[in-house]
Amino acid sequence: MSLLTAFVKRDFRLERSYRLAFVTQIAGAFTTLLQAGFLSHLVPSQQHALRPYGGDYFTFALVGTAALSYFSVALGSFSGSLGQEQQQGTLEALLVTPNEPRRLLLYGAAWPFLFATIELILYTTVGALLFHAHIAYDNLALATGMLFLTLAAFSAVGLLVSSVIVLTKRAGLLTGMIGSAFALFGGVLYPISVLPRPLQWLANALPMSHGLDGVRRALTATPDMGAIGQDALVLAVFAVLLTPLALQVFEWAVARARRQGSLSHY
Amino acid sequence: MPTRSGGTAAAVVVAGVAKTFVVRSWRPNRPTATVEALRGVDLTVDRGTIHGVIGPNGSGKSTLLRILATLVVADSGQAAVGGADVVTASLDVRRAIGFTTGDERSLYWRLTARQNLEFAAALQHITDPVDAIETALTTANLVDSADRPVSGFSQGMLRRLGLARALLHRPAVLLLDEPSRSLDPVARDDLHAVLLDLRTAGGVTTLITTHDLAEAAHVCEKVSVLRDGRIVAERTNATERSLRKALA
Repeated sequence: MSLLTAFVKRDFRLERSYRLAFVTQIAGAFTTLLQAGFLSHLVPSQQHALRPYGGDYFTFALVGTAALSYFSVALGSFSGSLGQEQQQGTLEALLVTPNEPRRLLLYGAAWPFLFATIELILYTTVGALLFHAHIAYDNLALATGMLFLTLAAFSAVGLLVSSVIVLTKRAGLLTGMIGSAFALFGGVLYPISVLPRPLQWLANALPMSHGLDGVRRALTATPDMGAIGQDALVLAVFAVLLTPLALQVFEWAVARARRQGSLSHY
Repeated sequence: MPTRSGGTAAAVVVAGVAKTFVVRSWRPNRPTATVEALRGVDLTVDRGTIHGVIGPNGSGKSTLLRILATLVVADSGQAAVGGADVVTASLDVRRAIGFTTGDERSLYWRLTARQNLEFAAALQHITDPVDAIETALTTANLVDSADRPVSGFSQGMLRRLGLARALLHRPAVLLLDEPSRSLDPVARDDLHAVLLDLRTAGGVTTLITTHDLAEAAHVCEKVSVLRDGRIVAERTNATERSLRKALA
């Protein structure tokens, strides 16, 4: 059994052992879906700001909320799984094995990613069936590509947050703040074109807005390839610059915690 | 870094290792507290022997073991396990050691013993995990409880499972932090039998920290006495009485 498979198997077994939490997590996702569905009745379709994304508000909100919860996993899963190992008392046992800490960190996040992917597929499928979301399935591969590119950019931020966990033992507040900023300025429930100009600049500096913009455009019947390419370029720059830096920072944080003797503290 | 001691190849060599922990105040510009855990420890553990480290609480026993397990980096001095330096060749060291943390929480309580060992086997990159797990379960006398969730295990069973995990990859060196703490006399005797058998049959080197002088006298060829971060005495083939005297 490969190490990656072993991590996924372990986390699936642990997750399954908390049956109620397993069910409520899925149920929670559908609550958000229903909210977006009912909210869409209030918003007239073909609003000017929604035109680049096909004009239907429900589709806009569906993709926004689904992607937000998916990207939140990228943001919080590394620090989340690390924090859990610290609190459970299992981190030392992991770190005395012949594996690089960064590998353990990446593999530890595999199950949350897998679960979030299943959730995303269920969420969008049910949304399309119940509320007739306008999704161009012909461009699904393009949308998936954009989704993964955004994930790469977000994961780099998530890796940086996990370094904070190693050093300060708590990063919940930081993750919450970053998540809120992305939700507020990233264009989850409204296009960033409705924001005041200075906030639009801020929104354009975030990977979230480019990720959502790219995924939404990719799912329209006639995708604007120029705009999608621009979003992809920005996300790729984020990922290429941030990921190696984030991995280096994480290694540095672990080395510092070893010197301080605080690796297993929480 | 020397790896031989008196003509016998040494499995563990510690030379002048010092470690001070800094406890920072949560208020800025307030003085920080420092704890000198180790103040220049020298220690050599011969290959294929059981070496004990005894000492009062806070004497630095666990810190010493954690430095050897690569979990903590010393401020000064050098340490090597199986000839590999704990800082510059930490992956080689981690391949060579089996470590029990002395903490029952180091296991996944909602998984069974076998599932815990399956995960540990993957972490150790063991090619034939089924055999290795069966052997470890048998050695730790946990075959009958292998498919029970760990949450229902007694303290003694948790200790034995920790030992089984440490033995999975047949390490050359075992680092055991108070392995018999909270074990009943029968379970403790079983543990001693396992350690003695590993030494005799497998040539495994064991470095064990303990408060139990009878245990140290019974299983260890050599015992080092650690006090205030320094080795203050060493006894070979010691009796409980001689260890008590050395500790006084």
